[in-house]
Amino acid sequence: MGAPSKNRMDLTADAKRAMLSRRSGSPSVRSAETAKSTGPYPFGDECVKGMAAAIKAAYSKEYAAGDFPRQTQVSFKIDSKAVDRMKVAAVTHHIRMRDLWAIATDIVIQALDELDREGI
Amino acid sequence: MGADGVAQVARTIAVINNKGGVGKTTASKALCEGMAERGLNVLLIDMDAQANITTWMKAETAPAVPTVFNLLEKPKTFLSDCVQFMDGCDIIAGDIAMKDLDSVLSQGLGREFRLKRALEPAMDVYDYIVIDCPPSLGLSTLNALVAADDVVIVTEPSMFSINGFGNVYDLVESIKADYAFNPDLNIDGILLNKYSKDEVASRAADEQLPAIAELGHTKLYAARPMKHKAIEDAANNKEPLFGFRPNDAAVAEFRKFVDEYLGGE
Repeated sequence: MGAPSKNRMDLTADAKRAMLSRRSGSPSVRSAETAKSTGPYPFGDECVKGMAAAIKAAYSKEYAAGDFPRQTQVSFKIDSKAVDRMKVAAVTHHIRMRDLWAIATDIVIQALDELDREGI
Repeated sequence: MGADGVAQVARTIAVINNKGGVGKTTASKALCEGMAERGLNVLLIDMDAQANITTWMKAETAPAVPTVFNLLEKPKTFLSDCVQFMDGCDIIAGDIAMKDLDSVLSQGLGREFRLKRALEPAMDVYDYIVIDCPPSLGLSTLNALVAADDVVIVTEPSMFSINGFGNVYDLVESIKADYAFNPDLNIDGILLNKYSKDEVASRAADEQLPAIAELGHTKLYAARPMKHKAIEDAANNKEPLFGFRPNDAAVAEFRKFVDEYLGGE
């Protein structure tokens, strides 16, 4: 066995976390930074805003009462209303559900950050 | 392991035997510490419902953090939520719920491939992934073997433990050939743990195991860790195996085992 890979040795916990948050079989990542860098979203700002509002509303109660770490909550529970909005967006804008899911997860994280700031 | 330099993707090692108490957890810990000392990025996965290595590493477990059970039960779980980033070696915690994995996933789609699939994002993050398996050959061990590149079988000088090798070998062959779940799975070697040259059982194991290893197309590691209190003390005190009593003879044998696995580096 040779010397370890320098790139891997230099990975910080944050860098690892970002890489590990990729979906299996998909290059998509869910970090807010990546979402910003890939914007604007191809299906229109209005749709994104609608989704964000729906997701935020769905999460406000759960987040306040949640026993789980926030990110777990995000990955375990995408609200059914939000999923319906995503399906509509996927059909009307010809976007793969898988890609939409990754974007939606970014939106959820951003929505939760807003909840944080609002002290909910 | 293959002497092919640094892999572009992580190499995954399943540490197994269907007999309990043979030293799988200690061997897993030794591999992780030895690799981390070399500057390698290592992820440890605690598949054992007893979660001993999770406790040893002072990691959190359910319900505080998502565990390997969450990862296997819910395929949409993000790996990043389950990994706890620690000095030297990251870990996905074990969980008592793993005892129910077989029944929970009995009708689950792709149940044998859940771990392999879940680990895909980790393949270019880590150099090695070490899986500490439970003392059973159920679905959790099956998932480990489907995800693994190498198998390390840990045994002790006892009839029951050595008999366990046959069961493991049969399972590995089924996974490789009968079902083609993982055709390239390699039994890297057998580690004879809790060795005492003064005991008849150890001398008998010394005589039998080379032939058994040959039958299984694998090797017997030269390292022979003894049953020393230093090992138990390190675990009980939740201290590093190689750091607690570094000059202990049994600890030195575990270092030798890691050297052998890594090819003498």
